[in-house]
Amino acid sequence: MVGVQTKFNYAWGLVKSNTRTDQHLGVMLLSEIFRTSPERRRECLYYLALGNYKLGNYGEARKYNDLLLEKEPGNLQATNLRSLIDDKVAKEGLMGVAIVSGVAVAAGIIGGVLLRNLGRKR
Amino acid sequence: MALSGDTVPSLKILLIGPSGAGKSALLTRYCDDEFEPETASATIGIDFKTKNLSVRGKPYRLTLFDTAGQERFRTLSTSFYRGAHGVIVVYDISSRASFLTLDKWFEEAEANTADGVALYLVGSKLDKAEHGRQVSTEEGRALAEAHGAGFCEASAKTRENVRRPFVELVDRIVQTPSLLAAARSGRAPGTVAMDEGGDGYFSGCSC
Ligand SMILES: Nc1nc2c(ncn2[C@@H]2O[C@H](COP(=O)(O)OP(=O)(O)OP(=O)(O)O)[C@@H](O)[C@H]2O)c(=O)[nH]1
Ligand SMILES: [Mg+2]
Repeated sequence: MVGVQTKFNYAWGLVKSNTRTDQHLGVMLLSEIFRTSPERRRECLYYLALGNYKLGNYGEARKYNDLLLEKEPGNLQATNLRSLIDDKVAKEGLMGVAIVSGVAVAAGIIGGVLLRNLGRKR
Repeated sequence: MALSGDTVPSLKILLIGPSGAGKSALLTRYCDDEFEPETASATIGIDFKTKNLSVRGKPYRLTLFDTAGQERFRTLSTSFYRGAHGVIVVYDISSRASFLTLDKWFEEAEANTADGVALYLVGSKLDKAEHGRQVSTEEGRALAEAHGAGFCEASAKTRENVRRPFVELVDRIVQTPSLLAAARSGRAPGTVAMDEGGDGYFSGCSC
């Protein structure tokens, strides 16, 4: 059994990474710690917001950040993060351009495959 | 991250010290000229601000890392120090207990930075000197001298001496050629550290 401190350190490190897979894993670990360790809620909320922000999940990011701000209305870190999130949402929309364009590429590929298959059938 | 000033040397400075000493308040006063005692909350992990400062007629870009004093965030602290040019240690002059933890903080700073890194000790909450002082100016200065660190007392509340630690620290840094050389080279240590050790989080923003 790994201690909660070790787990949090690991998750924190993952969120700081520039790799999406790491960030994703970090966010998963943090949600787990958030559920199981109430005394870690503040930092989990903050890093869940940050992790989701980096992943381009601005809706989720905002949700966690707002929960933290609800408890600590004067928290400057959360206040700053909120304006970062709002900026991105204004520019990219709630889902983030990265993801949307990723979906578009995927749709393009699938569409291409479908068309090819249709072509063969004929 | 370097938007306009690729040629402006970038300096990485770390604020450390016990929780509640007033690190965030000092930095917020210095960077944004704000002080809000009611709403202050303990720093989560690490935070940073940037500030441009001219010393001896030359501009520098400071990246100021505001670390959390709470024990639970210290287990990764060694990674914060990577590439630091200077470290500011903060204690609260109205708290004997905060002063008594300083050996530990200096030890951590000295163990994790290169030789010759600039150190500075700040006794904060100087506005409480009259009614709540628990650490004398002499004691603070003596400890700073023992570690070869600069020293002053300051108040984020009244603004007294708020700029001084930063100006004097940067002055020390720029007079240490080995430290400055690292800042001038294309790979600004601050930049590297932001990606590796400190906060790659906001990559690109200049909060
Ligand atoms: N009177 C007075 N109070 C201050 C001053 N500086 C900070 N404080 C108060 O001291 C408390 C702690 O200040 P912070 O700046 O949050 O302390 P910190 O060192 O950042 O603490 P951590 O983030 O937990 O490491 C807050 O309530 C501040 O309002 C000051 O110069 N004068
Ligand atoms: Mg703080």
